[in-house]
Amino acid sequence: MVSMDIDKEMGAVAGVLSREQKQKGMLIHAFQEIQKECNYLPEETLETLGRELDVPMSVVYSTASFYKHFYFKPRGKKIVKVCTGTACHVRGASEVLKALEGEFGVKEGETTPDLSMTLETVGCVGCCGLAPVATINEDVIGEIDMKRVAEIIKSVKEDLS
Amino acid sequence: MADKIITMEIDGHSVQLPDGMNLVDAARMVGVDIPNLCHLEHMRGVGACRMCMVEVEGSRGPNTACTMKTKEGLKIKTDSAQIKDLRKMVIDLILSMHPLDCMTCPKAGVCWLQDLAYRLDVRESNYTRKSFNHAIDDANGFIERDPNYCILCGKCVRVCTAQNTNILEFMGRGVGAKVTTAQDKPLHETDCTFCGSCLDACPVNAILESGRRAKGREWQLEKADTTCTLCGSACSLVVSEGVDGIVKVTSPKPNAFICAVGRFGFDALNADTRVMNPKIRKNGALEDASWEDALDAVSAKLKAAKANPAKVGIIANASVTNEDAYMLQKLGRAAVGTNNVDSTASLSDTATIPAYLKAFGGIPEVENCLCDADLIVTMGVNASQWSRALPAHDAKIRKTVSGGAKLIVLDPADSAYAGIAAKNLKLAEGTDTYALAAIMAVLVKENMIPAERARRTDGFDAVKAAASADDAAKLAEAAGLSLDDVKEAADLIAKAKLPMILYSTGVTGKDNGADAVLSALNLAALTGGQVIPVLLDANAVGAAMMGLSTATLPGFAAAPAGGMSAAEMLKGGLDFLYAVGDVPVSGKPASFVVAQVSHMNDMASSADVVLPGPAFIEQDGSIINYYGAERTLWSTIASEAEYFSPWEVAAELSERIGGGERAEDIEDVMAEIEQFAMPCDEPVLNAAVIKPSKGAGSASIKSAGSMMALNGSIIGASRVAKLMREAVKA
Repeated sequence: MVSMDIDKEMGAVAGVLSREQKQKGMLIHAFQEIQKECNYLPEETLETLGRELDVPMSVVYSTASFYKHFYFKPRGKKIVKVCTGTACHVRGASEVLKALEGEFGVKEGETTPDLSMTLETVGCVGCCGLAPVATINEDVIGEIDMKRVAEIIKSVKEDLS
Repeated sequence: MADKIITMEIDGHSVQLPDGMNLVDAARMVGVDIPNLCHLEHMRGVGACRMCMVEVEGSRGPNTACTMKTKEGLKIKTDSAQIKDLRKMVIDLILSMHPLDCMTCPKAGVCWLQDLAYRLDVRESNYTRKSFNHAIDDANGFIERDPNYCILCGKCVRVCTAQNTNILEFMGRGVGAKVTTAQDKPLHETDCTFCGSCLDACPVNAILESGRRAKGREWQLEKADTTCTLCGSACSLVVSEGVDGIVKVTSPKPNAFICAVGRFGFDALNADTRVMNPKIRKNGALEDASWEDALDAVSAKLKAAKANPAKVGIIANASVTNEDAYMLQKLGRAAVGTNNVDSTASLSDTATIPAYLKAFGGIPEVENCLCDADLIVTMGVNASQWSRALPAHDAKIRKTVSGGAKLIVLDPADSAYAGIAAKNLKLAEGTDTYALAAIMAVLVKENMIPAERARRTDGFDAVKAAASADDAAKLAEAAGLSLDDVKEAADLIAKAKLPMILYSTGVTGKDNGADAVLSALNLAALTGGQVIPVLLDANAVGAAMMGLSTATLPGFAAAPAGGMSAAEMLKGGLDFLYAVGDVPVSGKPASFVVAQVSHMNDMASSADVVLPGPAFIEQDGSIINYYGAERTLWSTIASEAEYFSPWEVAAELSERIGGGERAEDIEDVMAEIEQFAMPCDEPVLNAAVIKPSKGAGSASIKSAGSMMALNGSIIGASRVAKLMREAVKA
């Protein structure tokens, strides 16, 4: 659970910061902890956080929404990111995306209702030689053809059983 | 503030300005307008819009003036060709994401972006247009937010944050950033109080009054500066009228607070409950009548009642003007011969007037604005934007604290200010005088006040001597405080340049309220500070000054004893009562009641004659606000209600019952009351040693719920009534 002991969390820096600064400084750390535990930032948890730190909800959401890697909706167990960078685009990334969208009934950026998968796109994953590329969580899948698409689908669905 | 004056150069001209002042504000003082979109006067500059860029000699590139301060020898150019080009580019960029629909935009004429685009001759953007099609938030009935117009200047965010409402914020970042609520919820699903500070701050059309569209171009609106009389905050208002009536009510300054009731309550003027013409009770029911018949009925009764003047009374809501108050008490005292004349002010405060009369012989004008204070002490002040008790006071206190002032709370109750207070002193009930005496004892004994700080006062040595003889520890104990807490508070007060002490019904409702007020005046004098009474009625001071009080005659002269106060008159038993405006009552307080009201209320429902009166923002005349300053009320509203001002009715009745020739117009009344106004120009505190005592009792109207108690008939007739209900629920 997230520790609300600001002074402990901030260590030696705490002494020179005002109460307000400390509260705001705690936010990012708290978001990371919450997201680690819940996989996203649930509204009720943020409300508790705001109340405990005495930080208004507008500031809580303003701070969190500044960072791309904090999410306000539940995310899937598998995060599938289809690269739509130049090389992947040329090698048919849109076909890959369309196939996955069709299979799972979600659009880019959405999560399946059963929370098995979140489908996203990325600008580049740094291995254009393997285009088209996608990642499932930390794993990179390269040279995707229809067979590999089927494998991605299978790997997502596997976890359900 | 007696700041150091420096000499600097603006556009080749040598100018003298206060040192360390915001450059945009300072330039305006010498008539140089540095264009900007994001700067709020007297608030810290944030450099968001980049319009205020100026060339600074010795600096490599241009700087934003709003984030710079005046200093000796600074040389800036505000209008060079390079600066103009930069500003053009900024406008060009903003226009690439801004709708170009000035021909139908309701903000045309007051839009800062339109104005700057015009001045810099930027017709349309050179960049690719981009729009996000953000959803419009317009379901609340008060404020319409359309983020598609937003230029991300952040003014609304800063005013909302400074007053601690904290609803609007930047969400996201970069080009996709948006000013909205937490989770982008519509305003009515948030804790928004609909004060509309964001409306006055928005330089474009991103935040607009609901119902403002197609009601008249900005330059067609007739604008009248007036003063709100719905609560003791008595805010300045600008009423904008189109051909079909009031279009909007705004604050005269973009970052001055006015509340939802003052801003949006104007729809009450045309409500069904509005009293359009006089009514006379016939066979048990109120029936429409002419003014002539109504005045005949009233004057006949009053003439008969005059035989026993002790049984005649006059009470007005202390939102009436000075002119009304004066003529009403004159009707009572001169024409009828009764001292039963009072206002609703005495229902919440019987301490301020006697205390100030004792100390100064009148109510001196407070020299400084609350916003100048670097330390605020609140005593029994329960103002709140959320419960809608003196909301503007609450906002001012919070804004001043947001701006860096420290706050000390002296209150037996749990204060809403505890969260923002530097020192929260929870007293034992009724021990304000002990706490103040303890603080003064510490200050004097420990020599914490520089000699030049204390204001020149009469009898002050005695107060000092008494304080130095006091036992601070014992006094603190009597107030239920630790000596350390008292010492810390004293230390904060001693360090402050301008401490301001605010007190309200928590103090004035106690039987020793006047002593607490005098103690506060002593403390303020000792520390070079000021005292601000937080009164519930807009014209509480003016009513007393005009003699509409059992304690005072016009000009604050002492009134003969024996007059019945409002509370006593409302208990019942009078033969004749003339009640003006909302006067809280249950049952019928006199055998014959004349109620002059703008909207039907409890008093009018049981009255024998009902006369139409002006509603707030329809009044003409003047009031004296809680700062002791005169404010004028000026109305241009063409009402369909056939009302006369209370002073006119009082003058007419006076003449009819043999009180002499009546004043014909308001100038006559103004000339007559001039001799009674503002008796103390250079107030010298006549300090007296106050022996601490334990106070008991409480005001019959407290700040919480006061707006409804004193203006229920007007507020109830407006769309803001639903906000009041929510406030009560919360």
